[in-house]
Amino acid sequence: MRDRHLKYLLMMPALLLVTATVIYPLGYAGIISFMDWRLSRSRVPTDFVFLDNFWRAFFDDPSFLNSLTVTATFVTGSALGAVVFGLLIALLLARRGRGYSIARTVLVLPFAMSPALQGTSFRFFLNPEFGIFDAVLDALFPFLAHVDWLGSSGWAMTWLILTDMWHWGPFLSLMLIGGLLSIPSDTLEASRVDGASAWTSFWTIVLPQLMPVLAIAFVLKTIFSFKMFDYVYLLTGGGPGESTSTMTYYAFRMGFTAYDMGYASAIAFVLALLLVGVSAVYFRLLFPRGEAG
Amino acid sequence: MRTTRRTLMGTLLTGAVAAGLACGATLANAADALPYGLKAGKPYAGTKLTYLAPVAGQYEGHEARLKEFTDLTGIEVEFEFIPFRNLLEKILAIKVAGDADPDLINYKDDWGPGLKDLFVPIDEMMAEDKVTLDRYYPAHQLGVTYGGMIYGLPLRGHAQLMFYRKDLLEKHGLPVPKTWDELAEVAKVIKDKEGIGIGMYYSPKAAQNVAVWMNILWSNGGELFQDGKVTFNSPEAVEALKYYVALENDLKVNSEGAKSFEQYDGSLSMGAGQSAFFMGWWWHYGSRILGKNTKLTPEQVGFAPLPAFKGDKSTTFAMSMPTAINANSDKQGAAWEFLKWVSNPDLEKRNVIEKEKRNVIVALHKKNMMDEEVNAANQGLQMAAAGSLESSRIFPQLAVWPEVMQVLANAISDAVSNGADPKEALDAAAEQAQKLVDRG
Repeated sequence: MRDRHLKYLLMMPALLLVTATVIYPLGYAGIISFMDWRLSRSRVPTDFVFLDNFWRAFFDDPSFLNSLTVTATFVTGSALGAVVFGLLIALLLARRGRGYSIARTVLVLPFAMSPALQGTSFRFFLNPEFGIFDAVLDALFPFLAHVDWLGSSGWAMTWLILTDMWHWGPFLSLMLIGGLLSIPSDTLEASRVDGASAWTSFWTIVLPQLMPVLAIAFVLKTIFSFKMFDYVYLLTGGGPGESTSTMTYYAFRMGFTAYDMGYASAIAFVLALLLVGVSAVYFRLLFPRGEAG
Repeated sequence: MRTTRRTLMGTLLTGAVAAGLACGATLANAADALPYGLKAGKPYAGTKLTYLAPVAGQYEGHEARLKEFTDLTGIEVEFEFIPFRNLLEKILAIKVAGDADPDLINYKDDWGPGLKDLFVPIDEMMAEDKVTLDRYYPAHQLGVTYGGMIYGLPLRGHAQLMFYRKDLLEKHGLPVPKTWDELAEVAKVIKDKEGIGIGMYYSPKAAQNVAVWMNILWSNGGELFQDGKVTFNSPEAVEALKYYVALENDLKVNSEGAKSFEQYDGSLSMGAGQSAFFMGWWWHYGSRILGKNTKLTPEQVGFAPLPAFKGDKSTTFAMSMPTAINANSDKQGAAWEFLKWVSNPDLEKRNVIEKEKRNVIVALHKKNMMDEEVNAANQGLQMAAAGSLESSRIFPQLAVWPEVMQVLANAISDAVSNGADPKEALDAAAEQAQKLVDRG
């Protein structure tokens, strides 16, 4: 009996922390999303407006609908890109040896760096007048010499995705290296003895056994991609036009430029619901009912 | 009653003593009187104020001279500096929390209508201490007045100027452009011969492209709003946008990167010798065009009012950054003392002429703008800006303006970068903006 109470007592600090930092803000945002709260009129929420904010988002605001499309494009590109990039690095570095260990340690650096610093740096790197990336790309591909990398919708989205891949790829590769190193070496040796090419071994042995780790990496990256804000804010400001305005960026804009906290909360709440939905689908696929037990 | 000689003498003596005492008191008061309308007797001695300001040399200059204020009033002030980009977020957080700290807040004028509940109207304090807005240019007076009430005093403000490479224009025998068409012609020649063009900017980030387009719009006779209706999709507005877009896409007179450039990038480009022209706030002159890490010298850079689009007179856009007293502060009296001191023209003048520690060029008082010493220390920049400020206008004073401006900035960017038709882009933006205005 005492033990049963003790376990709840031990869980209490963590529960309180999660309640204060996650459940309460999320719940409060949920309530605000049904209210009229324009900061230019009042410092506190005023009227209960039921579904007005959500109605406005889906039926009267083309910028919000645009942000849904932009978010979908970014999530697909960055989640796929980062996982594939991570896998390529992992395949190169999943060897035993001192040099590989050092390389794997260094790999964590891009992930450890502040996104704010990376966003600002990439903006300089891509500057058409003195950016190092621009200079290197111009030298390698002369036909791209006059491209304004953040000045067209396609390129701006591409660089947002590439910047995010640069940040996340190495971290995901560390996860995947762990997965690769846990694949039994005798299976691979047997396939080699049977005359299978490296390509065939990869597709028939490595990839299937790596799939659970890949799936988790993909889920993790998808969730984080949905929340993309930093690079949009620093690299493109949502432009050109609104071509890189993600949902989080748009919610920020509605809150801090339009002073409309009620509407911003509604957008954030839609994003939270989307994330819950996507996560539920992924986990259902990853861990079918009964498998865990 | 008979007046005797004795009573007459007594009356005269009493009068003389009274007059002497009154005169003495007046002289003593005059000796005690403090400059800038500060209250004598240090009634707020021991008060500690906090002041939220953006990072800029001008405010650092104020902070460096704080001891003078503390010696006069006994009030201490602590500056809290924050990058300009994060200033609005910080102010909104203060508003939501209802914080009494900071006691004084510096903000951008077009944020004012949406934030004014956070600020104390200072009309009565100004009247009591005979402080008026007459010392500032009309654009800066308007920037602190909402609904007929004054909410702050402008401490920082910018006029827009055209900066150009004087040496290159002289080298090729070209005139200083006075119209946008002349600018395009001169820039074309320079670009063909020197490979550098106008440091123009079209990025929607920070919405600075709107300010450039507005100058063309106003010069073309267009308006953003009329009688509460959005009119920035009028034929004049569309023509202005077409021209702004054509500079980049058809006339090709801009330096590389203009589509993704912010104003900041444009001045950086000029300072690095990569652009021959730059149009923007004058503060860029002191730090980005002629700063420590730039390639140019004052002899190479000229400045002039922005070109006119139609006719020979341009109407430029001016902005200011007033400082207001936090309505939640319980030290409003002391805060007003500080505001009187920090906004005084003598302090501003010293900030602008004493170049040893920081290169501050921003002045707002009419008398400082025309002051010979000020202009001698700054290559005559203030006098040129004064000409621009005489006919300057400011952003519309609407609570929803910041978001309307972002909608416009996106439309402009869409037209130049994504090939959107200027009329369609402005029509869509106008529809969106009208909804915002109607919603209020």
